[in-house]
Amino acid sequence: MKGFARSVLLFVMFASMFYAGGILTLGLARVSALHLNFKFLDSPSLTLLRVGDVQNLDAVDVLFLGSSRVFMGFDTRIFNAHGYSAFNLGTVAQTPVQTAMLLDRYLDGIAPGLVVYEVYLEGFGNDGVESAIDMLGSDRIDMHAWQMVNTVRNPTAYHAFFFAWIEERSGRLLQFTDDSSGYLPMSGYIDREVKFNGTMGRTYPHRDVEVLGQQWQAFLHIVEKLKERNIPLLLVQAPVPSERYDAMTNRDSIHGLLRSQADFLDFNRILTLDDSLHFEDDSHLNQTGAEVFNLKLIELLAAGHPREARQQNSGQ
Amino acid sequence: MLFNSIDFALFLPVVFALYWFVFQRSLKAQNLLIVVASYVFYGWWDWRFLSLIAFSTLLDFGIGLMLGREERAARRKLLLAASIIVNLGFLGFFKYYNFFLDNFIAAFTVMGMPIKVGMLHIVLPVGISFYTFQTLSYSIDVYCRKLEPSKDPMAFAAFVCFFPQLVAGPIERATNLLPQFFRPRIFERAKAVDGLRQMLWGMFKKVVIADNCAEYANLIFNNSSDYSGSTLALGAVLFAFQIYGDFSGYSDIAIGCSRLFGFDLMRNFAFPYFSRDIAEFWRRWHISLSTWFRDYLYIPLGGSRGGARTKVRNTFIIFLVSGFWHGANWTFIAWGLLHALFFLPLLLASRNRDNLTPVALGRVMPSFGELRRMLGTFAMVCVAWVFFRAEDLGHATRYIADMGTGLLAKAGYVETYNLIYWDLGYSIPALIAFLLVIEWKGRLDRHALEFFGFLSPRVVRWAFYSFIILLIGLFVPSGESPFIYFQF
Repeated sequence: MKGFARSVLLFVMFASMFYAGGILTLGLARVSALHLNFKFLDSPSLTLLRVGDVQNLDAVDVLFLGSSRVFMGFDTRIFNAHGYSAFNLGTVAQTPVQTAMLLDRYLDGIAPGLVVYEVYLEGFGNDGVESAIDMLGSDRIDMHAWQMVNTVRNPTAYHAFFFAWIEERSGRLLQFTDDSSGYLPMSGYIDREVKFNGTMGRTYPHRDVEVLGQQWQAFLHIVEKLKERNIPLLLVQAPVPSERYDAMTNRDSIHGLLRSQADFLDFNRILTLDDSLHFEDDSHLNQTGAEVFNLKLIELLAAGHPREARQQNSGQ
Repeated sequence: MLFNSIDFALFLPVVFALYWFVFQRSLKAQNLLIVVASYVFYGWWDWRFLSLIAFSTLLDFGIGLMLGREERAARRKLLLAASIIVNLGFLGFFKYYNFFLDNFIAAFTVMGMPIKVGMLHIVLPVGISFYTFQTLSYSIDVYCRKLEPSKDPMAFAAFVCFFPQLVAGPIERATNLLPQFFRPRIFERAKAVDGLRQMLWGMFKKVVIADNCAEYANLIFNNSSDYSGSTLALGAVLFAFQIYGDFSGYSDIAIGCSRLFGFDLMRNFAFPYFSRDIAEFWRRWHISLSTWFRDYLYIPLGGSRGGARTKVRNTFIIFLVSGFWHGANWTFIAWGLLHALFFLPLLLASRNRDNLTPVALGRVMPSFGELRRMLGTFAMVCVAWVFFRAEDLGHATRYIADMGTGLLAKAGYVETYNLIYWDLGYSIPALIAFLLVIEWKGRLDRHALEFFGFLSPRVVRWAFYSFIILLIGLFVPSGESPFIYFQF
């Protein structure tokens, strides 16, 4: 019996090393295949540049957080022109779990006067794997990263964590080399040519947006953290094409939940944008749309900000 | 509790350690631990239904004792009837009540006498079909005097609720499993190691093969009207591997896990997709259920004795009842009927026992004829699986009709190719090929990895097992995925 227990223990150690070797081999060989719980980022995303910039940032008036709808929708140049210093910390498919991690890491360094959080409703139903991999491939590996991966609880995220940890330990840090991306240094925004919505006519099944427990808990953590530091939080839903907006059947009840936690502005109700002219695709504003949206937000902020906008927001 | 869960990964070592390190000196204490662990295992899913298992245990234990004392034939028959009625009564209520009610309402409506009866929202207790048949086998065997009635309630309770095979079998015969609860258990290292090996292969079949095939089988079956014939055929093949991986994977884990505790369960699968005809398939698929029906239904009905009519009648009864056992839906009955029709020509030509030995015995590869017959049998099994998987009979017949007519359309193959290239990827076909190669290599053994136990040096064996663990980690789905047979 003791011999059996010893063999099992030895085998567990052997298998662990084999497993680790397998993951490393996949990573070093840049393997990426369908269904595989291992995704290697062929080139680091712009998140690498953003987290680099954020560490050298002085206090800003406004910090933007959220998914790609943020780094394609909140043009910091427009805010600068109106007297607000701003930084855009939007990242690929960022969900509340990753937002919470970013705040845990960087909030005290940035000390923003206001946090504008774009609450992409579908993000509450997202497992957070895509963003987790983006973060692990772009930022440092520490306890915050481990907590984030443990919240996501997905084998792909665990594998990415392990590989990124080894990469970091071995000093093989990623370098961003693509300078044609339109990234604006110390801004976080992506400057790009105006494109028009190529997804016009697409229909979306009407369905309830799911709210996953771990995402809601992370969201509450964000709210609580900002409250503790007396940093005002403004929740914003950036405009989306009307077909897509109308497809979210439980939208109003989720909005109610959000309003119960912080000030909330739904710009799909505040603004009337053109589905073709103001959008780049079915999720992102183009530069024209971003300008209209940003100017309206600045107007509301200047007017004493969201509390006065509530009536407009709720359609009353 | 699911075998493929973190909960079970923690539960098993704890129970194992208690069993061999703390309670090893007392057989009664080990049986008590099995009962407690089994109730925790089952109660993890829904503790309310523990009362059903406890009731079934008490009933059959009591009836067994009374059968042991009773000599009068009429009273003995009455006692057996009580066991059968109560056990099948529970099964009938939980599993078939709404089905019968639904069909009565439909029948009366067709006759122009519509009736309104409220349906009940009944939750099917996991594993009820399995443990009901297991306890029935005890009552019947005691009645037939094949088995002495148990006088130890704890050993009997452990036999009924033994956690490795409680929820999805193998459906043990009391004559095989019950006596093992009375024998002192000595830890056998070789047996435990082989048990772990079998569990590993079972886990691979479940989480790598079944769960990955399920994603695309579900996609194709749920949108079958949108797909071409060749894609529908692909859907049927994927479902064939899904259900095989799922159910035989469960059986492998159950058998392997039992061996860790010193028990030998009966074999449930013997590489059924290497069968050369349908009769052989049924000797290799869900063996514990097939032999249960053979022993307790087919043979009492007269078996293959008597004329052709009796044989045909009994064959149809067995297949139809087997189909109905799987679920309260006409699709399962049609599935059983289709297998009976496939089986019939072999029976009438007395060729149903042609293939009793494993395929390609003494050879590395099958002959062309064997390969052709294996593929033919697999194709028939896949057609039948369509009924098993479909929502209703209409869905199944449309699926098969579209599959048959669409197979001739060349344009459909482009769609199938695109589905494989863009969605399925090459990893799933490669994993299925890996499964088939390993199972072919191990087809003469009790389970696919048994022969790896004889490989040396040890580092080669361990590297191979570690490779399977790596595959599991790389292909395990992120969400919870219960076993298909839990619903039966």
